Amino acid sequence: MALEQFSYDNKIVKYFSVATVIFGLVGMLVGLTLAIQLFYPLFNFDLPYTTFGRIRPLHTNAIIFAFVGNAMFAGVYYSMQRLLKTRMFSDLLSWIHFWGWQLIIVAAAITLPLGYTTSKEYAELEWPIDLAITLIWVVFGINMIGTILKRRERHMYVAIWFYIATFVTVAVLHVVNSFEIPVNILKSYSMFAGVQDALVQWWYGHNAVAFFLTTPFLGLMYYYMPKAANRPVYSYKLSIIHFWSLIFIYIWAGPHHLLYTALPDWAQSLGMAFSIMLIAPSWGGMLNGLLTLRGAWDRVREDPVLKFMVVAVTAYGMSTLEGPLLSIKSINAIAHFTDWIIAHVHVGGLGWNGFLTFGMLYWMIPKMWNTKIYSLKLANFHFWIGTLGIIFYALPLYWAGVTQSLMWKEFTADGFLQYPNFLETVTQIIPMYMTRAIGGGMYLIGALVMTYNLIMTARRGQFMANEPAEAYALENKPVTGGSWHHVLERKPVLFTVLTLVAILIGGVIEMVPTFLIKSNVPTIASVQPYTPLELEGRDIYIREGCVGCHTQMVRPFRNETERYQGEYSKAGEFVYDHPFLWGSKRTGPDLHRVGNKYPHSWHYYHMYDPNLTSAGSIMPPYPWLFQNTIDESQIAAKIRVMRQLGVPYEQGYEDEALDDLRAQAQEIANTLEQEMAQDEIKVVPESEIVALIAYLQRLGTDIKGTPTAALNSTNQKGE
Amino acid sequence: MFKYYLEQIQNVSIWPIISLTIFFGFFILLLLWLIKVDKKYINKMKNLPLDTDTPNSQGRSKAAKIGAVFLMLLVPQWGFAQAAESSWDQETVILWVLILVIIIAILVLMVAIYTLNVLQLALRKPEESVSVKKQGWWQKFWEKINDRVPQEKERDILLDHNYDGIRELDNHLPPWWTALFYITIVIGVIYMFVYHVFESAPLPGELYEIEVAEADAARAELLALESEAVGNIDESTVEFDNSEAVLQNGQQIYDMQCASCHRDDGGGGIGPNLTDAYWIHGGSMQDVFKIVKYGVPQKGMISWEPLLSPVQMRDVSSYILSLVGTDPPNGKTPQGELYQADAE
Repeated sequence: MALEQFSYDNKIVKYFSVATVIFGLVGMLVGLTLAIQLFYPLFNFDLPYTTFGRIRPLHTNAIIFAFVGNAMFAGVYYSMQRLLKTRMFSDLLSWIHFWGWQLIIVAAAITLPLGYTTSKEYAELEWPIDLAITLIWVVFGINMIGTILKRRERHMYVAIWFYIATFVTVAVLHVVNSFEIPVNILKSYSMFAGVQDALVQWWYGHNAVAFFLTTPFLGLMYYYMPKAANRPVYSYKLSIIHFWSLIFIYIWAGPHHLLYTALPDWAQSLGMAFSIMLIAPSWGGMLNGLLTLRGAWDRVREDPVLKFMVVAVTAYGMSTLEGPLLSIKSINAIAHFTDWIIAHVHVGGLGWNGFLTFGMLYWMIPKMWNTKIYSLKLANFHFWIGTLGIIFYALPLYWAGVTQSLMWKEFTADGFLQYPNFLETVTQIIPMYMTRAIGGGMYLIGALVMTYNLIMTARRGQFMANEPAEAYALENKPVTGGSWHHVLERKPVLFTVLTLVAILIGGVIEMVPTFLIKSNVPTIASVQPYTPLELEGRDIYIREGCVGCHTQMVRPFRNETERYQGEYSKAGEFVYDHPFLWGSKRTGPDLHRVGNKYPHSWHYYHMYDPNLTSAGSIMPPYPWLFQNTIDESQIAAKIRVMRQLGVPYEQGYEDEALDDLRAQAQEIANTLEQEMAQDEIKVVPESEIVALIAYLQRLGTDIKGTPTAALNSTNQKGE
Repeated sequence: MFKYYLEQIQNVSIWPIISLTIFFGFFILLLLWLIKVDKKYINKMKNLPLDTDTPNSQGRSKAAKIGAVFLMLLVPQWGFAQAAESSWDQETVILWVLILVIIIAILVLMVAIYTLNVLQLALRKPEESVSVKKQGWWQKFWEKINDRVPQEKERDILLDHNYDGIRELDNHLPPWWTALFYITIVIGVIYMFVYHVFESAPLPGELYEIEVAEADAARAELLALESEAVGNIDESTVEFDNSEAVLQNGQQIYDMQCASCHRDDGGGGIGPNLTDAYWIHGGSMQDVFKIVKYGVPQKGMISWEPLLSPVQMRDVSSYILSLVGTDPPNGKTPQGELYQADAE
């Protein structure tokens, strides 16, 4: 048994930490801009690149993948080397990982404002970037597994289990949810349609929260919290039970994002039942963290690191209790589509991810720079303004969510909606939006103060790029004994395989029947594919991020079928929707039954300036839709891809598509000019607005049996 | 089922405001208390959660009680199931919904108290540490429900793990946590059985049917009462009525239902101008009533018959005719033909 000398790679940790801080500030700034846009639409700046719909995904991606992602990598690279008593497997892979990830972020920051998006939440990036993510993620995985294999510590600590689960699951989620067929270099259509696409997307979306925002951070908690508190972890047994139950159960809960939608009932119920079962496994992590602090609570009031971590773990406990409660159908009926959900995710994001990251940085940076923190006072200030920021952010939004939801649902004694005008329910909660922006602003100020504090800390210290360490090599002889789990902890490959099995079961059981059993998506004969022009309009709808504020899912509630004047949405209506556009938030009204509700000219005026038709609207204007013309050269490729995906366009239809498109555009343009004869407006048939109107007027009309002009002649035989 | 109940409360939107006030009030009270509180009490709270030398064996019975409490907390889930099997009358539902709300409120309060404790710890200035031997009820309670080994005896359960200096203890699973886990699993299984094996409770689609049927019944009742009181009103018998009550009621309906297309002053927008003397489908009381009642589907005017009672359609038609000649600014250009009232 030889004592070996080696060194820890701190430089990679430093780089990831710097990226964390930079992208954290950027992501929060974009978030603050969005918050202001909601009560002060001028902040959309009348530019396509800065409208709410386009920068909302920028905010979520920046926070999840750039801020939290880089924080995760910084924390993993620091702790893994030390927990396994070895340097990372390969410095080269570490650096490919670092620069590759930053390039992906830059690519996202460029493409999202330009409108290149798949529209699937937290998976908006287009297919070339998806491929790059896969590649870099595999690099990270190889580097991690390699490090585990060359470890000098016989057993893997609980933090490592969580890192393994993170790697395996995110790989599976990302690959499956990114099945798409490219139309061109920056445009693709999801392989799945409608209900199936929704199920896959929320299996992904929910578990991105679970395995990108939760499991890696639980791993980080298990390293940094006992280190900072200098206390033993409370219960090894609890670690084992809550780890396996958490990763097994989490995967099942995705459908709770789709309660009361057209998703088959059995899948909805599974989502709710497993969400409730998730309470205890989630709380296991919180308990193990908080109970570890026994005897260290004295230090909590002095040490900002522990303070941040305690609030982080508390926020984790709160949001993981709230989540299952929100999954109970009767509560979901009130909360879903409202700002309650936004408040919920921000308690998790600002509290759990943000505060744990801050705590980790305040602990790790002085260690690596071999010094003490520059100013405890500033760190304390950060703690307080951050905590207040979270409260000012979340409370008004809870209030706003419940208020708006109850307004949507209120009937008069005569059986009418009390607030038939959706806008009324929006203007009601604008004061709450303002307060929320103040809360977000406070949180951002705190992060700025931290940045200054960390820079000053680094400047007074001496960075140690390679930290010397020593440890005994592992003996090359079989080890026996220990509990079954202890045995497992020294078999990383078996451990990884078991993790994979645990996370696959739930997804497979929910997805396979939805895909294979026909009764889950009953077909509706009158539902037809989109016409070429409508398809173009739909792509504009996707590009502008309309789905960020408008749902296309009328739920089976009387108030919704009254408000949106039509049947509630049926699974069979979405069979040609690649991707699905159900949305998850109703900042504006639902649009699934908007087709034929208003004349073309209403949409024309409304998109030009929403205040013309709806005074007081907070929707931004879209003047560029009137100047841009659609790219007619893509339509044939789009039709071809759609046919590959199973949409019944006839063979050879791609050659006629352009004619059909022009004919329909001309027809709409004529109607528009007729309707707006008074204002003497000239309509360009090729303009994007015409395509968008074509799509909007088609929405949800098939089920009413109204034939759609263009396709009837060409496509009836396609069935 | 929440929605049924909530929708029936008058001025329901006041409730979130009240609850927020209570929530804030609670916070402020606790904050005041925090500032004024006796130093001795602070000392007592200081090491929260505290160490104890209570023998481990006692933890069990207490834990069982806690388990029972949690069982009760989660009972509404069972309640939903049972209610489903017997009947879905509103009172039972309301009862369970209220219980659920109260439980959630209690949970939220518990979290709030806990958070305040944490914040209190963080808020206090460091002071000379005073060793506290006496335990408060909370610390005893906390120790017991977690069934944990006292700090002095920690050495006995310290595992031989050492990861970069991190050691691990071999404490028991907190019994209440285990109980919670089992209970949630049982609830999940029962839920699936009730809804998808025995199919004894209505799923969203069926709930919707029930909701609509109830609303239809309520409406039929309303109509029956109305026709009893005022007799039959249809397009052949309807008469213009400019009494104040009628016009007021008509205006209310107009503002709520018609204004979005015809503008609040009747000047027209998506729909035609209602204030000029030109009418596309005729301008007599009977004509207007007919349009309101049956609609003009091809032009986007919906039929209001399923939504408005005959009296309401009369009121709103009367109100519309009362707008003729008001000539609001920026009205839509006249459409249709000039209508001149006959001798009637």
